[in-house]
Amino acid sequence: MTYKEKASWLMLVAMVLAYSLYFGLIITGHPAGKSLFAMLWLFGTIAATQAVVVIIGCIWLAIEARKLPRARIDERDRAIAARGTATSYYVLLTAMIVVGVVMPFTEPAIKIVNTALFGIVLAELVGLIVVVTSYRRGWHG
Amino acid sequence: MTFREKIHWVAFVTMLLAFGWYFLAFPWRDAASPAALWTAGGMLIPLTLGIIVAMTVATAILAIRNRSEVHLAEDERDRAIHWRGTHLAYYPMVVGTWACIGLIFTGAAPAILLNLLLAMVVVSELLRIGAQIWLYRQG
Repeated sequence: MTYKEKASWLMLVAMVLAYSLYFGLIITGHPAGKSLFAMLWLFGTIAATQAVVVIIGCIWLAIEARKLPRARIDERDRAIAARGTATSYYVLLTAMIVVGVVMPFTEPAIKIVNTALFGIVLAELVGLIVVVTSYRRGWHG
Repeated sequence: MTFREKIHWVAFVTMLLAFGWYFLAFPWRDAASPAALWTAGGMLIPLTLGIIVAMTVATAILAIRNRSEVHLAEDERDRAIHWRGTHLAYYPMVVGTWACIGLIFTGAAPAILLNLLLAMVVVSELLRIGAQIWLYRQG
């Protein structure tokens, strides 16, 4: 497994854990689902913790990757990353049309914010799933 | 110019004209009022229908004039151009989404929020299609 593949797995697992917790709390009635300040506090705490875990994990993976014969990012890594973000783009585009063009007519601000966050998280998750499955299936671009 | 490139040009010009008209014609002076949201809705419905009709008609005309290319499957180069263009447009959209989330905390009016999110989507789409046209032109 290359450095990029390991880092993608790390980001995927960290995102699933962090945002399952965040949106799980929102669904079960946490004040972050009703107040912008509570939402900012909860999201900030979870997102910052996730970022720290990912940064530390990536540094550790980069140190480990130096021992491997092929540590540099190549053409295939770049093609897989582009494929992942291209998929993320359409997910985010759809989410933003719902959030920006439909929800302002019917929903309060806090619900729009949480749906926009869900759109970003979902787009990133779908992109990362495309990346890890491309590596697993030996996709060459 | 290939059939795919022509389709990209049609999409680019149609979006530019349609949303150019929308953002110029929108009553920005009243953007903070609740009525502005419904004004935006009233403008977006005919705009969306207009885009669909214009693109369908233009694509049909191009398909008739380029019959030999219509059924050609997307090749390696087309796919690479598609991914590169879309990859490029993803980041402005993420930044724009975060900016709009930040705007909600300032208590922005719903019509302003709608227009900013719409502008972000339009700019990202123009960037995506424009990048693909540029990559086709570059060969």
